[in-house]
Amino acid sequence: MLFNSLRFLIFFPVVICVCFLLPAKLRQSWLLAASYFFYMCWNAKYALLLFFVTAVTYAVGLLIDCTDRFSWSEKSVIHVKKLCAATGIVLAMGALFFFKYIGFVVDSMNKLLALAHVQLSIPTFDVLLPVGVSFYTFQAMGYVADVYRGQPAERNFVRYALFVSFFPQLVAGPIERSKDLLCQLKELGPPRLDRLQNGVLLMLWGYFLKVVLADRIAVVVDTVYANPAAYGGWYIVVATILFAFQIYGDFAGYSTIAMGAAEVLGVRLTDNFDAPYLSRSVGEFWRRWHVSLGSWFRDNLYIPLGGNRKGKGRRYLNLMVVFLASGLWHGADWSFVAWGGLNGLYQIAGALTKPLRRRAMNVLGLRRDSLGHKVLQTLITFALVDFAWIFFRAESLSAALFVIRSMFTVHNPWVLFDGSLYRLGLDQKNFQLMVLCILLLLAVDWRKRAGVCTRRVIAGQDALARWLVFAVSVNLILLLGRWGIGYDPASFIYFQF
Amino acid sequence: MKKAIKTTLSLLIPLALTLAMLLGLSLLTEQKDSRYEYGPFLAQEEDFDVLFFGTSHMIYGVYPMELWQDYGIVSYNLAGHGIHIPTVYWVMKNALRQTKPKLVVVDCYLLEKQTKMFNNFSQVHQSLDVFPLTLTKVRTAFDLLDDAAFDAEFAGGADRTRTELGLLWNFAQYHNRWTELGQDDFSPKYTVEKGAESFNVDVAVPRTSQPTDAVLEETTGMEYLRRIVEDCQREDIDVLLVYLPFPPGETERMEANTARMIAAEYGVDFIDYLDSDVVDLNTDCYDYWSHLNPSGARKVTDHLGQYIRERYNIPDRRGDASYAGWYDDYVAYTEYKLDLLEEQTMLKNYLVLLQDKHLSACLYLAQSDLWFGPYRALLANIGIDTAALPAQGPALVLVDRLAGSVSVLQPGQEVDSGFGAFSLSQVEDGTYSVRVNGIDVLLADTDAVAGIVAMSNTDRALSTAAQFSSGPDGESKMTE
Repeated sequence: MLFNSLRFLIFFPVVICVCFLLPAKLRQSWLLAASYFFYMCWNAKYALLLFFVTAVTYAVGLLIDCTDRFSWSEKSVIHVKKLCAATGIVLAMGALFFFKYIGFVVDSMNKLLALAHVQLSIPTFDVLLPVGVSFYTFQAMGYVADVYRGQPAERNFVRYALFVSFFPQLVAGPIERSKDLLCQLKELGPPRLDRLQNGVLLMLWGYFLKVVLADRIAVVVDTVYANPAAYGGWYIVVATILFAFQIYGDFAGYSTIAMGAAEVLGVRLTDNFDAPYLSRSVGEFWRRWHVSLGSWFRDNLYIPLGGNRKGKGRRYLNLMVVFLASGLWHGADWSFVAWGGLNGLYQIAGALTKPLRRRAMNVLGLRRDSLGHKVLQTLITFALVDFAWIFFRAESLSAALFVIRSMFTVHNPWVLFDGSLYRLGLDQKNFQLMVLCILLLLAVDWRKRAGVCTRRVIAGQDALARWLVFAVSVNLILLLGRWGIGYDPASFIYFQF
Repeated sequence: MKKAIKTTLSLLIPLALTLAMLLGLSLLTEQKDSRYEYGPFLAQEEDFDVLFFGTSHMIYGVYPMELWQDYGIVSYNLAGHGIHIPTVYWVMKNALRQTKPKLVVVDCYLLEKQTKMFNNFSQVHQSLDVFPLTLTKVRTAFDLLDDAAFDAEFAGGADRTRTELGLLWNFAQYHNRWTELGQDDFSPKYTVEKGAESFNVDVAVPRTSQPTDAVLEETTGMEYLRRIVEDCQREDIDVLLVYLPFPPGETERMEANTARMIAAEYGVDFIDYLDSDVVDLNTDCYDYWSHLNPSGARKVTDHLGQYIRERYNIPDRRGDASYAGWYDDYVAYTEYKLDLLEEQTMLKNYLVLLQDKHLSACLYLAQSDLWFGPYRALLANIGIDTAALPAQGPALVLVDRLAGSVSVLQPGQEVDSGFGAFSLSQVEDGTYSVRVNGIDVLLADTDAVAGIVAMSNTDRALSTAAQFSSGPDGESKMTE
C-alpha cells in the first residue's frame, strides 16, 4: 500500500478514527493489526518474515536482559550477552542476506569463477525482495544492540512487535532508536488537535515532495537514463542534477509523510533530512541526509570499529567500511558499492586535502566565512554528491560508466537553450513548474537551516490563515501532482532497500 | 462543550473550504465535451417529452430543434459517439433521474457487440461526465467496468484511463489539463442543437449489401436492449426502437432484424430505415461507411416527427409558456445553421445543406453539364427537376420553400415569392443579380460557374450568397 495511493487515503483515516475510539489499552494491538495489514498489502507471505525478525530479536532481547539475573561471573555474563546478541544479529542478518544479497553474491561468484576459467556454475535463487526488509531488520538489530549496551528489554510483545512494524515507518524508515519509539508507543495518548494539524501539514509537504516534485522530475530523468546513447552530454548533466532533487523529493517525501502520519497518532519520528543540499562538505551532507541510517551506522558499526579513536589511518579505513556497507545496504549491486565507496573516498580526500586547502585560502587571502566561499563550498559539495548519484541511478556499474563517458564525450550545450529539454517527457509549463518546485524546496531548506520551521510559522497564524493554507495546499497538490487516471502510482525509490 | 464545538469547527471548516475549492477546480479542469453536448439537457427544468439514444448514427441522424419547429416536440438527443448498447442503457438510466420523458427512442446500431464499451474511454466520458454523482452513476461505473468480454478482447491493451474512479470523479483524470486551460474552460460553450451534430457536411456514395433474414446470436448488446425496454415499461415510458439508415453490411442487417425481433417480444414499435425510401443513400450519406449527412438527417427527423405525432400522445409544446425559451433556442439554432452554410467551401456541400425546408434559395448554374452531370442527384434532392432545365446554360432557379414552389426564371423576370417581390436581372453578359424586397445581391459574375443566394424562411430575409468556380476537386467557393 503506497502512501500516494487511494487505498492509503482510505486506510489511514480509518486507522486513526478507530485508534482514538478504542480504549487506550487496545490501541497498540489495533495499530499492530493495522501495520501487519499495511505490510501484507504488498505480499501477505512476507509478513511471516517480519514476524520472524520480530520474534527472534524480541527473544534475544529478553535473553540478554535476563543474563544479569544469574549469579555468573561478569566475564561469563558478557560472553553470554555477546553470544545472544550475535545470535540475534546473525539470524536477522541471515534473513536479510538470504532475501536481499544471496542472488548478488552467487552472481558475483559465478562471474569470478568464469573470469578464472573455472567451469562451475552455482545455481542462483530467484527471490522476491520483501519490501522494507533492510529498514525493519536494521531497526530490530539496533534494538538488540541497544539492549546489549544496557537498555532494558521490552517485555510486552505486542508493543515490541508494533515497534518493529509501526506502519508509518515500516517500509522506508526512518530507522528509529528503540528507546525513543518504544516509550512513545507505550504512552499513546488521546487525540490532540495541535498534533493532528502538525501531522497533516507534514503529510501535505511530503505529498508535495513526492507527487508534485519527485514524480514530475522522474519523467525527465527516466527518459534520459533509459537511453543514454541518445541523450548524451548536457542531457545527462541536466538529468543527473534533476535526479539529485528527485531522490531527495522522493525519500524526504516518504519520510515526511511517515513523520506526519506518526505525528497524527501522537508519535514523533526522527527527521531524516536536514537541508542536505545546502551542506558545505560531503561529511556534513551525510550528517543531514538519511539521518537515521547515518546514526545507526555510527552507533553500530563506526564506533564499534574504533571510530576516530585509533588514529587517522584507522579512521579512514573505518569510514570506507561504513560507506561501503552503506552502499551495499542500499542495493545488492556493485554500482551501489561504487556509490558508497565514492562517498567514502570524497570524505577521506577531503580530510587529506584540508590543510592544503586552508593554506591556499590563506595565501590567496580568502575568508572562509565569506558568502562567496560558502556558496562555492555548497556548489562543489552538490557537484560531488550529484556525480556519485550517477552510480545510484544507473541500472548497473557498466551502465553508470557508460553514462559518465557519454556525459563527457558528447558536446551539445545548445540543448539548454533550444527547447530540447521540453521534449524529454515534460512540456514547457510542466518543466517550468518543476524548476519552481525545486526553488521552493531549496527556499524552505534555506529557512530551515536558518532555524525557521515553515510549519511552525503556519501554525502560528490565526485559524482562517491556517485553514486557507490547508485548503490551498491540498488543492494545489491534487491539481499539480502526478497521480490519478493514466498514471501508475509511482513507488518510492527507497522501497527497494 | 464549547471546546468540543470549537474542535469540530476547526476540523469541518477547512474540510469544507477544501472541498469547495476542489469542486471549482474539478469544473474548471474537466473536458468540456460532455458539458457542451449535454449541459443544456441538465439545465432545463421542464421535462423532455422525447429522448433519443444511440451512437453517432443518432447524433448525426436526428435533429431535436427541427422537431420543435415542425412538430412542437420537446426532445433531446442524448446519443454518444461510439458507445455500445450497455453504455446507452446507463446513459438512459442517468438521464431518467433528471427528467421523465413520454417516449424513448433507441437506435440499435452496435447491437452485435459483446463488450459494454469500445476501447476508447474518452467516448464513455463524453457521454457520462456531465451527469452528477448519484447512486445510479456509481452503479453505472461499476457495471460498465465489470466486463469479462472486454477484458478478454483487450487483455493488456486496454485504454489506461478505463477506471471507475475516473468516471465517478473525473478530476482524477483531468487535473493535468491545467497546462491546456483555455477560454472555453473559463466560459464554457453549449450546443444549440440539443445534442445533435450537423457540422459533418459532405456527400459520399456508399457500398450496398444484400438483405438477409438472419438474426444475431445472443449478445451483451441484446441483453441491455431488453433491459432498456423493460426499465422504460416499468416506468410507463413508451419505447420506439429504430435502426437508422446507412449503407449496411450483413452484420448490420442482422442487427436490424434482431432489433425487430426484440421489439416484437415486448410489443414496442420498431422502424427499420435500412431499406426504406426515407433517404436516398446517394445524396444523404456523409461518409462511405456509416453516417447520415444533414440532408439525410432532416429527412429522417421529419419522418420520425410525423411517426411520433401519429403514434404517441406527445403534446405540441409550441405555445406552452413553460417552453417559451425554446423559441430563443431556435433563433440561435437558425443562426448556427446559417453560419454552417456560410462556412462551406464546396458546391456539393452547399446543396446538401439546402435540403432544408426552412431555407429557400436562388441558384445560378452556368453550364448544363452541371445539372446533367455530378450535381443532378443533389439538385433533385432539393426539389429541382433537372429535366425541366434548359438544354444549355445558364439556368436560373428559385427554390421557394415558403411558397412551396420551384421555378425556372429568366433574366428580367419578376415573381411574387414567399419573401415578397423577387426579381432576377442580368447586369451584363454573364453577371446576374437578384432583388429581394428592394435589396440587391450579386448572384454570379462572369468567372462563376455557379452562384447561390440563400434565404432563411424563419426571418424571411436574405442570409448568405456564394459563388463557385471549377477546381480539381469539384466546384469550390470563390474567395472575394
